[in-house]
This record gives sequence, structure tokens and C-alpha cells, in this order.
Amino acid sequence: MTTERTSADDLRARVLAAAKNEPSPTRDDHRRRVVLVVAITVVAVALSFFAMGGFRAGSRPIEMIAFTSSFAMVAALAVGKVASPPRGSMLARPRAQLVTASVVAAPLLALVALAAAAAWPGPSSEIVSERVHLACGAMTFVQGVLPLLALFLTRRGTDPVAPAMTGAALGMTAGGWTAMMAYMRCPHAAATHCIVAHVGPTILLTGVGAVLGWLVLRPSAR
Amino acid sequence: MLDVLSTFPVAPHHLLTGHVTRPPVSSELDAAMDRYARGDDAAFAEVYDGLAPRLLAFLVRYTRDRARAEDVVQQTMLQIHRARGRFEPGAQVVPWAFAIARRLVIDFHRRGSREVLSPTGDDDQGQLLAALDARADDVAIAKEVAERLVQELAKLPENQRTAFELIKQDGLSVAEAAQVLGTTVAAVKLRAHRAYEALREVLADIDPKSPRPGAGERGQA
Repeated sequence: MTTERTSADDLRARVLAAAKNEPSPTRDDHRRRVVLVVAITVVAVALSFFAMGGFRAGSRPIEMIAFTSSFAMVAALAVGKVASPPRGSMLARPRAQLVTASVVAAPLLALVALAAAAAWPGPSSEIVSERVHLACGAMTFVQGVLPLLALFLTRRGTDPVAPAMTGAALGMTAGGWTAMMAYMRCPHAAATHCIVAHVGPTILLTGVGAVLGWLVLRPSAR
Repeated sequence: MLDVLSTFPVAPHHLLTGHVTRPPVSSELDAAMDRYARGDDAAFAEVYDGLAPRLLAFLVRYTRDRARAEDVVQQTMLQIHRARGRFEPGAQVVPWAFAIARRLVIDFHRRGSREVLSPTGDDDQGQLLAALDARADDVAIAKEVAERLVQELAKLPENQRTAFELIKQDGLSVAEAAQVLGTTVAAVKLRAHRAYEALREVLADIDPKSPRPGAGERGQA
């Protein structure tokens, strides 16, 4: 017992000394950092949006653009909320919620694309080449990487419970935002194009998010 | 089993660490952590004192290796130190700390093979019970229950065992245990209940009220 007490005292002294020697950001420092990262990301995403052509309606009516992009925004907000810890907790929501949000969002977005094609058959009947699918899909993915990196940068080492699943949900959150921008940027309305080039990258971002989540969100011993 | 467990005078995690006082109230710890997050460096000692004994008990039980458990406690407390800026006002520090500790120990196990289990300090438990001036037969029953409990707990599925231990041995609420395990309150209740039922079944043959040789004698310190 005495040995254990001594060892406990040693441990206490060791931990307090190590903490003293390694300054850590306070809440105000952290908030300032988050604001900076968010501001840089918003500017970078806006610049990339305009660099990729900015807003282009093409043959699509404005209602169709509003319908598809607002659903993508709602998906991003909803999954983003699930990916954040509930109020009064430092820990992620239950795994079941994270998995559901990550898995359900992309098929819902695909359904929205099909619904839009059914509601506005005229602009949706155009033929889009595979090269356009690929180019637009690549742009959608690249635009999603920026918010994804920002989300991981501000939440590094914060999820000890389900880092991969939280990462997947964050990936889908970034996917929702980039799908929204794709619907505003891309003039093509064909359902196949929307599913392949606007929704497809969200699935890819979800996968990337899961891997990054496991690597980045997990607290690890140094 | 509740009757059997109620004969056990001190919670097992207190036996392992030698602390017999109740852990600090969580809200006091949360307040200390909040002050630390706002920049009051002196509050870290308070956070440490409130968390470390509980974490150590949890980790000793998990690893069966005191040196490794201490290493993980150190890593956990340093993670909390590094992430203090992220601690949200009104958040709870206890489930957060347990979740970090659990993650680190799981990663330790994944990186290397599971260490050879070392003794869990049964002699110390006996000495402590004796020092508490418990009746000799109570000490014997408590030791028997504790040994059987450890054996039977080890046979339970991991998710049931962890839920049961977090609630019954580490003193977490069901909601806190659910956060640590990344599941719902209902799921934790179910897991803990199943563990409880399984233990009650296998420990039913231990009757705490049965007379023992030497009953009535006082334990010798």
C-alpha cells in the first residue's frame, strides 16, 4: 500500500510537471483559432467556387437550383449536427446515429436528384458525356476537401469513442456543402450527372472522412 | 447478487487504489475543469485529484498492470490538458476522461499483445478490509465474493462487462456510461442488466448470511 501511495504521488508530480512544461491553448485561444480556420476556409471555398466558374444556371429554372441545392444544404446541416457532440457533452453521439446519418444522406441526395429530374423533365433530358461527369465530379470532390480539412483541423484528437464514424459523418457534412455548391456551379441537370458528379463525391468524402477520422480524431499517446 | 455485493464494505476500485473516500462530486470537477479551460492553471491539480484515482482503478482493472495503468493515466491527463481549450461550458469531464482512458488502453492493447496478467493486489485488499476493522467472516465473504465476481465478470461479453463495471464499480451514471461507450442509455441499461442477471445467477450459491467458522470474532489488523 505504501509503495502504491508513493507511486501515486510520483505520478501526480510527474503529470503536473509535464502539464506545466507543455503550454496548452485555453478556451479563448481555441475559439480564436477556430474562427481563423473557419474564415480562411470560407474564403478558400468561395475563391475555389468562383475559380471553377461561379454560379451558372444553364437551362435549369431557378426553382430547380433552389430545390436541389437547398436539400444538399439541409443534409450538410443535419449531418453536421449529428457529427457534433450534444450540448453538455465532450463526446460523440451514439454510433447508431453517426452511422445512420453518414449512410442515409447520400441516397437521400440521390433521391432528390431523381425527384428534381421528374419535376423538371425538360432540362434533365440533356445528354452529358462521361468526361463531363468526371471533370465535374473531380471539382466537387476537390471543393469538398477544403471544408473537410477545416473540420478535422478544429477537431483533432477530440473523439475517443467513435473516431472513424465521426470522421465519416464529417466527411458527409463536407460532402453536403460541396454538393450544394455543385448544384449552383454546374449547369447540367441530368439525373445521371447529378448522381455521379454531385452525389458520388459525397460518398467518396465520407470514406475519406472515416479514414481521416481514425487517424486524426482519435486521441493518441505521445 | 445485490445482497451478496452489499456485504462488500468498500467499492473494489477503492480497494485497488487505497482510497476509501467517496469520489468528488462530478459538478465540482466540471467546475474545476471549466476554470482550467478558461486559463486558471492551478485548477489542473484539482481536476487531477478528482479524476486520477478513479481512472487508475478503472485502468488497473482493465490492464491488470499497475505500471501500464499509471502510464495511461498520465497520457489521459495530458490529453485533457492539451484539449482544455475545447472543453465546453456545462460539459462533463468524468465521461470524457474515462472515454479517453479507454481509447488509449484499447490502442495500447492493439499495438502490442495483451500483457501477462499480474496479480490484482488481493493481499492488499485483505489487509485493507482487516484494517477497516471488519468482522473476520465478513472479510472472508467479501474476499470470496470479490474473487468470484472478478472471475465471473471476465467470462461476460466485453460490452456487458464494461457497462456493468463503469456503472457499478467506477460510479458512472447510466448516461455517462452510455457516452463513454458511444451508445444509447437504453443499450447500456440492457447490457448492465444482462451482466447483472448473469452474475446473480452464477453467484447465487454464495449466501452472505450463512454462518462461518469464527463468526463474531473481530478481524485482526
